[in-house]
Parts: sequence; C-alpha cells; structure tokens
Amino acid sequence: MPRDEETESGVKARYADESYPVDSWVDGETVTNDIDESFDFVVVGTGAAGAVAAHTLTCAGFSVAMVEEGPWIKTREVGEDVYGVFKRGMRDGATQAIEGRAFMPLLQGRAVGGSTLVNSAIAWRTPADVLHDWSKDFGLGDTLSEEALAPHFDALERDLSVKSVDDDVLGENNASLLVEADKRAIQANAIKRYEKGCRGEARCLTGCPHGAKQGMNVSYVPWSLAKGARLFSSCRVDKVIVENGRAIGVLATTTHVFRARATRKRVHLRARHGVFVAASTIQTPNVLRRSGLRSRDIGEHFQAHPGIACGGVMSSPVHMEFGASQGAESTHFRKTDRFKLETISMPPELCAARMPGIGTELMDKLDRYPNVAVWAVQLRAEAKGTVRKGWGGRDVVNLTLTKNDLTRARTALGLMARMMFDHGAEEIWPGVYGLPSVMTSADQVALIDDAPLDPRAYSFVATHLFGASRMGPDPRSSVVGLDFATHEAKNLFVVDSSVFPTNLGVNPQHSIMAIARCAAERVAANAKRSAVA
Amino acid sequence: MTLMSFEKRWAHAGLSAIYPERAHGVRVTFDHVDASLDETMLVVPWRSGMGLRIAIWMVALSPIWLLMRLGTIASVRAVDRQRALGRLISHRNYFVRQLALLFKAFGALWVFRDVKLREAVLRRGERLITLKRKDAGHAA
Repeated sequence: MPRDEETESGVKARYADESYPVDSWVDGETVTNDIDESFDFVVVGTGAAGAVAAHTLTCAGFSVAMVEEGPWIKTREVGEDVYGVFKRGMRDGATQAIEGRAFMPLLQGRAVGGSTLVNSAIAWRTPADVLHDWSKDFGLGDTLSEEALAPHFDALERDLSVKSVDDDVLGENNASLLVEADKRAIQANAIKRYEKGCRGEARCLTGCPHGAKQGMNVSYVPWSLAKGARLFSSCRVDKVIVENGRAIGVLATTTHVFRARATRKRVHLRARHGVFVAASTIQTPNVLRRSGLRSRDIGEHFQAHPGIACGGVMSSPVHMEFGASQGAESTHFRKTDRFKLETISMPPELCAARMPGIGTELMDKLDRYPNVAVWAVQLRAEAKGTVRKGWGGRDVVNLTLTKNDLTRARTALGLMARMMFDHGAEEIWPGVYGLPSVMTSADQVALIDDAPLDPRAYSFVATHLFGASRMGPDPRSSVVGLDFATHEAKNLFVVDSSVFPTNLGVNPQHSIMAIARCAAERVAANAKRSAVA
Repeated sequence: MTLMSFEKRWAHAGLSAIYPERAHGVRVTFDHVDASLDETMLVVPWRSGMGLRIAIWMVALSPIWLLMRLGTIASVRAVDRQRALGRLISHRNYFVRQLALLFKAFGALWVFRDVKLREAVLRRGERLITLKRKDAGHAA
C-alpha cells in the first residue's frame, strides 16, 4: 500500500518514489553545469538489472552512482493514456523495431525503472531446464545453478511481495483463459507478480498510478537512494572509460526528451572499484563497442520472445479495463512447442490499433470494447539475430523468425482461436495477412492451421530480449566471463539479460534481477577482499 | 523534424477516415492531433519521423494511385477517403501495408488522448451496473 512518510523537505510522501534524500537525485534535464564525481561503483541503467545491482552494492556498504538515459516518471505523473507514457518513457517514442524479413515493433522502457515501469511485473524463476542447458552446453558450470540463484530469488520475492493475482482483481479477461484451459486439461494458473495492493485497474502497461506494481522506479531505485546511492537520470552514457585494460568510470551527456538540442552537459563519474553495465540487451553491446571493446561476439546470438495477440468479441462483457493487465498464463506447451499462452488486457488505443478495419467497421468494434478479450502467445523463438551500431549511432537489431518458429506461432494462434470460440466468442481477429481479418465461426479456424509461413504475414511484437553479450568461459565465443567481467576489460561487469546464453520461454524479469543480484554480491565480496588485502 | 501545415491537414483527413467523427454515439475529436503530431516528430528518431512523414504522404496521395481520383485525401469525399485507407491497410505490398498500419496505430494513440472518447469506449458505468445487479442477486 502507498505509504505516507515525511520527506526531508517536509512534504508528505505518499509513494515510494517521493521518499528519498533530496540531494540524491540529479535530474539531467535541469542540470546547468558539468558534473565530475567519484564513487566506488557506477551502474549504467536502472531497469531490473541495474537497480537490483545498485541496491545490492549499496547495502554492501559501497558508494554507488546509477546512470539512466531516461527521465524519472513519478507515480503522481502517470496518466491513463498510452501516448503519454510512450512519448516520455519508451525508447524512440515506441517506434523502435527489429528489422529482418519483417519489421517487429520492439518495446523498451527508457526511464528510471527501465521496462519495469511499463511491464506487467511477472515473476518467473529461471526454469531448471534452461539453467541445465546453460551449464552443460555453454560452459557455465555451477555459476548460475538453481542452488546459487535460489537465495536471490527468495530475497527478491520477499522484497517485492511476489504473489499470485488475487481473485478480487483477476478480471474476466484473465478468468476466461483459466476456465477454457481447464476445460481442455491445459495446465494454467494465475500469474505471480510483484505487487503491493493492486486495485485491478489494468494499467500496468502505462505505469501503475497507485505505486502498487513494484517496478524498480518505486522499489530498488528509491531504496538505494535512501541508503546513500546517487541517481543521475536523463544522462546518456557515451562510453565507459577503460584505461590500461581496466574500467575506471563513465562519460555521459545530459539529455531532454523534448529538447534534442538542449544545452548538453558533460557528466564524468569515476569508479574506484568498477562499472556495471545493465543497459539492456540492445543498448549494452553498443555501450561496450563505444567503450573500445572489440570482441567479435559483441552483438551476436541475440534472441527474443516475439509475442502475437488474438482478440475477439465475446458474447458477454469482459471489461478489460478491470483486472490485472496480465493475470493468467499457461506454460503447458513451453517445452513441447516452445510457446506460452497469456492474457493481456489492452487499453482502447492499443486495441483500436489491433482491431481489423477502418471507419464505421472499426467504430462498430470499438463500440463493443466492453466485450473484447485479448489473449497472446509468447514464443520461445529459436531464431538468432544481431545487434549492431547503425548510422548516427542508432541501434540496429536484426532477427528473422525461422519456419519452425512460425509453425509454432500458427499452432498457438489456432489453439487460442478455438479456445475463444469455445468460450462464446462471436468473432475473433487472428491478425494474419492472407486470412479473413474477422472469423465468425470455429470452422474458419482451420484456415489458421494453413496460414503462410512468412513472417510478413504476422504482427509480432518483441518485448523480452536476450543474448548479444553472452556469458561463457571462452573469450573466443563469449563477451563476458563467469565472473561477470568482460573478457577484454577488468572491472567492467555486464549483468543484464544480454549475458543470457539463450532465451527462457518464460518472462525474464525475475531471472534478470536474481542474476544481477548474484553478480553484484560476488563482485562486492571480491572488492571487499581486495580492499582488505 | 517538423510537419508542414498541409501535411497535418492530410493527417487529419486520413485519421478522420479511420476514426470517423460520429459513430454509435461515440464522438471522436481531433483536438489533440496537431499537438501530438508535433510532439511525436520531436521525440522519435529521425528515421522514424521520416517513416511517419512518408506514411502521411502515402495516405495523402492514395486517392490518386489507388482510386484514380485527382486530388489529395483532404480533397476527396469521405466515402473515398475510407475506400483509399481501406485499400492501404490491406495492400499486398508489405511496406505499404506496414506504413498504413503505423499511421493507424499512431492515430489511435493521438485520438484516444481525449478523455471523453476513452470514457465513452470503456463504459465503466456498465460494469458497475452489472456488479450491482450481481450483488443484489447474491443478497436476495
């Protein structure tokens, strides 16, 4: 629940992001002078990985600076419309896309809290089969074993109050998936999330207006500040300074969302013990490149979980505006068919973009919004892509789904469509080019089974991203060693999902946080040992 | 990168074909579109801004190359606007289709900044009435 606390300025703080020492936050949008400060550690990025690493290091007694490219959007500033959060809190105003044979929109938060500001806060421990593969096939050994990660998962679940969605806030969109899965003996469950006092307003995707969702912006970031860390928001890291093969600080430039040509100030943050890069799978490889690292593996082995949604008009009200944004899921097919089913309650604007048709046809469908349900498939794609630096320094991400990926997506879409019709859908929208945009009977679903295996026919969206600076013992086939330091530069640690050797098949935030916590704890212990020596 | 006033007019006309002003008692206004267009062009990278501009030009000239009508999207009748946009959205060329979908998606973001429209579509009141009826049923 929101807490009422007295801040140093004497103002009552209702939310966690209003309660921190006043001089601990430097907002790059308002900085007027160059900055030069020294810390034990500098952490690049404040998403799931960076915020947790910063908190762990701060708790271990080190002075820590967190550097974030985006602004800090406070709980009180969160609005209901998607445009508001897209323009301010999403990278490239949410116009980023994976290129390949087809374009795939790529949604990444670019704000304090990173994507945890706008995701559904889903907690999944790293599956044992994935850890086993990493250990055996990628030479990670016991570095990231179940036993090594368990205490970190336990701590995170305590801190962030992980629990299954309560029945009170489940909502009809989520409940209907559970009912249909049960009828077909498909294992499904209410989703476990990080939340304290969710009111079921289905607004996770635009930022929680009540501070109930435990994103990093209302948890580990302000908690780190309270323990002495400093936050530099709206500061884009130009490079990590590497001298004599050792990371000694970062150089950043202040930014402003709406003023591209604003007076830019230079931010120089020195790091006595090391620099943690947790800028995300897309940005981390290019930060490493800009810092002078030359490993051929930087930017390789990129993987994702492309998602595809199926909407439909039900015979009875669904009211997606009530209930957890994502409250039900099934991992029944994760191992056999590499996909996960889940619900996603879309706000009207995202629904309108996804609904077929235009003009009166579209308005007819919007008029039936209270009866609309949306379910989605999250695909554990086998395709591998690249992250490169493009013209003007932009990130260029390339990935083309394989025939196997598309076959699985097609199977999953067909299953969802049949489940929706069984649940009383009057019509469904498969969203596959070449098929009817509206299907009104279960008989038509057979068409999905023969849908073209061309990625351009589908409307995938990528959210979960992995690899591109992967971990391994051999510098010839990996970027980061088993101690989380890059093979090329000492004291330069990478702790986000870019070190993951593969994708997971489940939502990655929990794994990212646990691995970052594990890494920070080990690095902190080593730093203390070397200080004593 | 900023849009010229005639480009904004084209965007308005295109959006009015996708989201007509009046349908089923839902009134769509375009009050936020101009400011949103300016802001969007400011926030997105140069390449994305160029994509959006190309989408607007494509929509603007679609009556000429899709309907053989001499005029831009802003100068043809509402029914022709809808025909042109409908063809763009389902065009067999992938890039044309994607640009049209980009235009439709951004249009939704801008149009739904209107609180009244959002409330009209959500119809939260209906859900409360349903809940009250359910509660009354349980109490009985």
